[in-house]
Amino acid sequence: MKLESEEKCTDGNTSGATGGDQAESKTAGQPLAEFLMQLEDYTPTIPDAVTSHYLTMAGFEASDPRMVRLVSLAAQKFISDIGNDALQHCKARSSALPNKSSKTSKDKKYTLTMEDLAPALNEYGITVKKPPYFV
Amino acid sequence: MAEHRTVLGVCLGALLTEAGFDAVDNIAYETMLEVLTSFMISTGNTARNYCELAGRVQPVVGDLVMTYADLGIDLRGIERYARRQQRLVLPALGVGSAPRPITILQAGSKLPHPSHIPEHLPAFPDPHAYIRTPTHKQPVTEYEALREKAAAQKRDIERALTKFVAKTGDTQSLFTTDDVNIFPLVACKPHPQPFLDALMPKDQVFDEEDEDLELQPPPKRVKRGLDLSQNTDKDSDADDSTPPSSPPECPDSQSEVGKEILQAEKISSEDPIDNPYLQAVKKPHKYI
Repeated sequence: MKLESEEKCTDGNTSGATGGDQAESKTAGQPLAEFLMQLEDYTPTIPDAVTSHYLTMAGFEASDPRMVRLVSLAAQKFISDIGNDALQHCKARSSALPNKSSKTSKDKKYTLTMEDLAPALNEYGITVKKPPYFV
Repeated sequence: MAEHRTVLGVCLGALLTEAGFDAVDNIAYETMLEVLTSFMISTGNTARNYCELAGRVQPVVGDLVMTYADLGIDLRGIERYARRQQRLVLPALGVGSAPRPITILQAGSKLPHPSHIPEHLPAFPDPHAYIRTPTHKQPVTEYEALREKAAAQKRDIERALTKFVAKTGDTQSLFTTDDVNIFPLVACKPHPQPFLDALMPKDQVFDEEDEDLELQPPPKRVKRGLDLSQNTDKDSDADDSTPPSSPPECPDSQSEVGKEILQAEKISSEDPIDNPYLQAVKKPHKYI
């Protein structure tokens, strides 16, 4: 009952999204609600204590531990997506430079640098401008 | 506070390793950490706002849905992500026990709190830190005891000292038996001129040995003069520097003078310096 009302509100809030997304976001609540049930025995990488600490700092009183796990999972996914995008940037960069000294065609050791991270974050709407050195 | 950030950093490292990175720049690491922290805090904030907007206090799943929609975060693949194969699960973080104060140097058991002190306050330190036991007996301050102690000490000192002198120095005995040790008396040393002490009062008592040495040379000189006067008729080859030669020339004198000469001889025989380096130079005999 409450979920349905919130789904209606979702329609109104996602005005920025496309029409296709609107149809999907209508039912975004249900899969998540179902997924919540499956979270009982799942342990995300980020411990519950840490997540609940940050949520409590924000004022979110998590009575259900599954909610906390959902938040931590969402955060994990977010970071993983950014990391994957940055990795693709890194691979594109390393493949663009024909380096004969490296034994394999691709550089085996990938290092996450600001050069790769900045464009990856830009796609998610986070603009990062850091000075290359500290004055 | 910093502990959560540290743990979050570890989790971030695990996530990046999962993604395929082998190393991460420090700046990039810090940036990602800030992103993660800010993500969670804004999720909590927005979810709380939606929850309160709906007139509730406890958030519900729907609030989270609204939050993610509001923040523009797409969670469509979350189920697939949750079931990914290569997910790393960090070892469960145990609650670290508070570092116990080092009990190596503990001496004695700590006293429990008295009843008026609540239990959550820190415990008492080791009893030796504030309980003082004197290492010596308190001195007796009673007048009677002190007088008695002083008197006993004085008597003991006198007795011990006289015994010591009697056993190491000259003794005289009151009894005619030979056993001197019944009741040894410290022998008194007769002063050659006892009236001098009465005639010349001193305000400082010097060492007795020094006094004896001072008094001994004068008798020697006097007696030598007497000797020379007695032996003027006899030929004497003796030099003046060897006084021991004079006494043998008058063996007959049994008078007190002779005894005193003998005494002087004994004393004067000690006079020649034992140290060969300090003796007078002797001319060597002529080589034949």
